[in-house]
Amino acid sequence: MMTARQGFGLLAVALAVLLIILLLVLFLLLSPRGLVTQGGAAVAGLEPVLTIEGPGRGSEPTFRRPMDAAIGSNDRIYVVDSDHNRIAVFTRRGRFLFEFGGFGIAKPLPGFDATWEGGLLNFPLGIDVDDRGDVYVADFRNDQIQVFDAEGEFLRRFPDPTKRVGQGGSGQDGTGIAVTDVAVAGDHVYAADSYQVVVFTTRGEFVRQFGRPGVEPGAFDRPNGIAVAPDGTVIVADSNNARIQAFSPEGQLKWAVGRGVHVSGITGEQRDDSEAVFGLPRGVAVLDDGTIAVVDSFEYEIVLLSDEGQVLGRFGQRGASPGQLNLPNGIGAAGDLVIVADKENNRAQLLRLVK
Amino acid sequence: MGRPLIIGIIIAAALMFAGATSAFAYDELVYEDLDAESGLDHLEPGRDCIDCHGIVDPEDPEQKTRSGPHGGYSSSTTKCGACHSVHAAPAYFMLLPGPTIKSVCESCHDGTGGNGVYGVIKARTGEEPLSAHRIETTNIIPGGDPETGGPRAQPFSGPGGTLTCTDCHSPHGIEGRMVEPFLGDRYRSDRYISSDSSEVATEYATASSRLLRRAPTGADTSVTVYGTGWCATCHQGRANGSGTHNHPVQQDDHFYYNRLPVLTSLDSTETTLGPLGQSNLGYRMPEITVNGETTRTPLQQESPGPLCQQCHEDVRDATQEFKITEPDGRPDDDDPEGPSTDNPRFQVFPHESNAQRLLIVPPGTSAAYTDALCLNCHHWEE
Repeated sequence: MMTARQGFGLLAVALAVLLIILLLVLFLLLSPRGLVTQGGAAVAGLEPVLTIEGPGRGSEPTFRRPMDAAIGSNDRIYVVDSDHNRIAVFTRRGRFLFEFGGFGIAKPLPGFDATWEGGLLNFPLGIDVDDRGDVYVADFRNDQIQVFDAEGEFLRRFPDPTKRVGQGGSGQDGTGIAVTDVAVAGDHVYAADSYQVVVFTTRGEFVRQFGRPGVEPGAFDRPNGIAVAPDGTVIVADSNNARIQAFSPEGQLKWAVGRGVHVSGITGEQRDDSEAVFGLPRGVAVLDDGTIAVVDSFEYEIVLLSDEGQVLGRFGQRGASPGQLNLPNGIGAAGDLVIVADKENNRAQLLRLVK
Repeated sequence: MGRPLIIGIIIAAALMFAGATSAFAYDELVYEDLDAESGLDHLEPGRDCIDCHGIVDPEDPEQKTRSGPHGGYSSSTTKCGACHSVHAAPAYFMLLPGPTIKSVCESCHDGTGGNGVYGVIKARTGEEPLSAHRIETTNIIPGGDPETGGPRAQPFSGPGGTLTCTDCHSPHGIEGRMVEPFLGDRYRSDRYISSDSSEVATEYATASSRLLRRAPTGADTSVTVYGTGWCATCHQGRANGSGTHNHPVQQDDHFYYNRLPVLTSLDSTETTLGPLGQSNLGYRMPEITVNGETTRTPLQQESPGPLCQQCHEDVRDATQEFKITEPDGRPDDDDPEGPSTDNPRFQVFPHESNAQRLLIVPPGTSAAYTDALCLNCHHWEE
């Protein structure tokens, strides 16, 4: 038989639960919403799950040319809003959480002030999130990588953009690296610059570099995407060479798909593009099943590769409707979903590949 | 049903068919009514699409195109679709993926696909550049009037008739319509040496046409080489023989820049009198490496006449020898901790500059030009 005291206790617990539910509902109702569209019909093998066009508030409510996006282990969506020098963070349902960044110059011209302080960005291009939820951002025009915690608080930066990295990089004046994309795997960070891959520890110590400018296997011409497979294979979107290259963590070439299409200005050497696999691969991500998703900007599609580089399928078509793409640039993956920076449509799209 | 009604129906049907005939006879390969918004209204109506787009004959130098994004169109490729959409283009203008030519070009040419782009200077200063060929902003050409040397207005291809990228560059890369590679140009970034500094990537020679048109901005004259003549197709008031007096910029005039103090050798600081453009203290054209062979006298430098680019170029110190010992942006191997030999710094000429009038001045100089610019050629000891 329940005593009066027990009854009141039970009532208090029930009321507390109701209060929590009420507060949760109020939070969901009152918290800011991003400019999002849910769902949609599959288009050319791409099923739109969520379309995000911006935070929907503040002085810049919409994105302008987002270049990359990622889904963190904390289920958050991070969008690199490149022209606005910020990272916008959303829930998996598209609810805007917060943003961080702002414009800062780390390597000013002589006579100009360095305005950079921890967290400010200068044309960010790439992003990745590690298992702890820390966020790594390719701070392209500051020639450095910046690391933030899951709440967007600045943690550290590397390399020092005013010092030479290893045996040299593509940063302005030969210091730092003009980093276009980053990938985190275990204790290492892999960064693509204009013609090579530079490897650091997650603390920022230089480990190694590999690659050189060129069209030969293992060389690069403006790589713009990098990802690491579960077995440690480093996948690089060698953009201007129109190919994907895979390396061991130490930099040994494992395989390549696509071909270089460079033309020498002197010799005018011609190459046959008729059997090209890619138009302009710019972003790359590894799905949970080990397959590789490549964003091809010029073909307006996502190309799915096996873990050995065989083409498994092509998804997507040009356009501005949900599920369509317009010069897409970057890609991230989680589960069976991909998040694509749909650059020229000024949006990010969470998509499912309908195989 | 009376006969008049039947006749009426027949006549009406005949008229309908007659009206429909002209509609069905419309040749979809001929455009008639493209309006200004399409960006094609400057073309003559009634021409076939093929008149412009043609069928590329790879054996015809006038039609030969490059591979890569800008060219390589054939019956087995789908390269046109990289930029143009036949149906359902997201933007109306020329069926491009972006609203303007500039926006489309900058989708790739934003620094991630190559150098020499707009926006680099602001990224290092926080301020707009001091001078630029301003894109989709103006239709005024400084020094464009051949009679007075003053400004001249001209309709270009950008929105509202403003200057845009395709007025100077040919995005379709048809070789017969582009200038020859500019052999007098200097090194460009990150295309020369491996990251371990062990070898020169000779395949990445510096010379390139940069997809520059032989007849930029719709000029009547065709120029095959990027240099003074090319600039003067637009800046007509700056050329020799125009209606005003100019610093001579071409060799076919009475003035020759052939008695200037130049270095006696690459390793010397001694000078002798000689023509500009070889080992001149202020502007020594860099060596060009082609397939492993280095040459010091590129074709354009054989001329004693100076080039516009000898005064108008990226910001650098004209009082110091312009000697490139390493590829841009990299320290000297013998002094890895020393200053970079990247000079000039940004390599965005002629797009934009952090000096006035796109002139070569020492970095940070606020004046439009200083005496150093003159002394660059007119040595004070002479």
